[in-house]
Amino acid sequence: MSKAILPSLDAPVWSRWLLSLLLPLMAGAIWWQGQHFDPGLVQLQASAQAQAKTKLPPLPDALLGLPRFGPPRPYNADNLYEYINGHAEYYLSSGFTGLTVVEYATAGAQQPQLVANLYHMGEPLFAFGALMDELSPEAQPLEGIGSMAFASGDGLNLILGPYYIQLSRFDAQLDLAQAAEALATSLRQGLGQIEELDLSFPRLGRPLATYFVKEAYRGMGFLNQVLERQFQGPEGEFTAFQILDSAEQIQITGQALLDFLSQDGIAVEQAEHQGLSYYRVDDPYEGEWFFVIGKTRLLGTFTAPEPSLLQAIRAD
Amino acid sequence: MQRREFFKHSVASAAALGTGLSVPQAWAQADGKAQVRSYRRLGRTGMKISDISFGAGKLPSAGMVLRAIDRGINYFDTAPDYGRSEEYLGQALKRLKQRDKVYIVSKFCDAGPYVTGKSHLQPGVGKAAYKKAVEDSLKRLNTDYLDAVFVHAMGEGSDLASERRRLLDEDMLAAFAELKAEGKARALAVSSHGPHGMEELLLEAVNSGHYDLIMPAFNFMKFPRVPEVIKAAQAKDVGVVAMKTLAGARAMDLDLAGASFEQAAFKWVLQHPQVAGLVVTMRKVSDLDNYLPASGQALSALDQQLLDRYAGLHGRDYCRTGCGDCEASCPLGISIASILRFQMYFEDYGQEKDAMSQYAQLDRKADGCQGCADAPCNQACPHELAVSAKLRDAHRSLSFG
Repeated sequence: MSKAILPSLDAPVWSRWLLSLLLPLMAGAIWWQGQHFDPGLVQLQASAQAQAKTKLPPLPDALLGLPRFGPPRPYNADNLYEYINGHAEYYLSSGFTGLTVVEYATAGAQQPQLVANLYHMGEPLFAFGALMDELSPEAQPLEGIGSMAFASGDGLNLILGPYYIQLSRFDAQLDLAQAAEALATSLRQGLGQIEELDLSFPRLGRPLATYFVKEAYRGMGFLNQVLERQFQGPEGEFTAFQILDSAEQIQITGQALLDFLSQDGIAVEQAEHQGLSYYRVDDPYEGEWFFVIGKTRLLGTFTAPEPSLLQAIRAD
Repeated sequence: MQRREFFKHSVASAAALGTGLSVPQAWAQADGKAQVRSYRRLGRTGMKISDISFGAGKLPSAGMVLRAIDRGINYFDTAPDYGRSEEYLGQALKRLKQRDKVYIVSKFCDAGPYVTGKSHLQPGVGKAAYKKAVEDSLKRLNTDYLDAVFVHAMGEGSDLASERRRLLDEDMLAAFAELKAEGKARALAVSSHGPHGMEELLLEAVNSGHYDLIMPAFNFMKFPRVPEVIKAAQAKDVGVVAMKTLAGARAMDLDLAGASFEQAAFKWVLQHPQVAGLVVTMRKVSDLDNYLPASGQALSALDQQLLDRYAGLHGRDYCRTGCGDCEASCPLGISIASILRFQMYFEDYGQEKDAMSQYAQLDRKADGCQGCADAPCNQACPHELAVSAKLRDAHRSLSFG
């Protein structure tokens, strides 16, 4: 070992004594803290570290004339369970990047009257998935609020870009739709450009309902993150589905589908319509259907490959 | 396979059901796919069901139902709160056009996301609510009758007196009598996977004379008193369908000389002559391939070895659903068995979201176990589980704590 990195012995004696005294002082401080730590206490406030990680969305200072009830509370993956004990894993596995909770109440109130949970789900599609998963059967759609909104009793859920927003009222007199509209407007103004929800289905008919299926679409373990839409066409209702992914992944998924159908003994015929290549499936379980393996989209339609549908897909 | 072949198979299946306990060999081998090989009489219900039947809790599509029918499955267990399950079954029935060739059973239950202690109709809701629940199911199912309607999840509440009231609720019994007279429901059934008093409640159901069918949790980890219940059921000609047959399903990597854990577990249940069949959740087409080879097969020595190996690995790690012996020991009144069941859903069944949602709704969670020094639950478990540690683990998983 070279002499250059040996500790200097020229330091004054008093400083070495001071350093030696520091050790028992530190040990004492740790012991004292340990004696006063209560494991039963739950820290309900987001940590400073978590607050630094979560970027606050632009929030209105008041909603329906109600000022904010305390500061907005940000949460991230590290401490989401502090706010939604028992349901955090669902969000964490569905694209979650952050949550901001903001409350509103009349001045001097002891409890909030309006609570908004703004989940940033990473992508508009994942926000849509969360909205669809949490929709109650009695929820009614509302037009013109965010990208999509549904009201049910004292709750209103909406999506706007990557945000999935739950709005709850604790005062039956409050107009939830009006509050949601004001909140969405504030977000739009504050965020500037918002990535809109792109369900981007071709115009196959009049949309009736849209669903998000996270995994194993129709029992096929390789079809995941699927958007399904029901349409009204001239011949009646039918269902279409699509997966949006990278060009490489779409090819892999498309091949997996062809392999599955072949192994299952289901007849598949490749055909073409004005340059559009598609596969027609004669399926004893799903009926006649067809699918197109596009560049970054796998699109299937559970109906016969009518020229009008193929034309709509080609045009898209 | 063309669609006409599918219907031909369905007709063959129906013919088989009418004539005996097994489907024609030619069809059982159709396309080289695993098929149901055994049908058993379900007590006095008049049904003769596939020994391996379909739990439609995570039903992905109508097509999946038709695939199952094509493989010989004829008994489908659904509920209003199983997502779109009833709707998909309804689509399948519409296409099948042979309603009398399959058995559809559902629950006295509200539609919508499951809420512990609320979704399943409780005493006091009145006769009309019970009738409406069934009539709503019939609409979703595109049918005019249920083969059985269940009072579901008996013992989900810790107050056994209250659960007994639910079991024999006069409004429910009156509603069922009317539904039966109107041809809308054919049999009355009850299910239980505990955690409270499963055996007592099911015995009471059998002895009451009101119930035609019971569905207990039952698997090779040997619920100590279920055999007593199913023998009592047999004596009164009450049908038995088993559920929760995979005992936690943690042995996917436990294959032994080609034997399959799931198939061994199914064969173990089906070796009991009192059990007509079992329901198992089937979410993927591959589940049909993995499960159906057990149909009509006897438990072999190799199967038993596999189950013994599993029991050796997990015997002190597996909470017997429906046991509940530890419940009274907790000074905080924590619903131990429910929490460990939710943990099983989370860890073994891959149903994390459902498990966490159900855990979130409990009044008393396992965070109370953190500071519990005595852990009387450990001494209370007859199977020597480290209950307290398992509860703390469950809290970490289910609350992301």
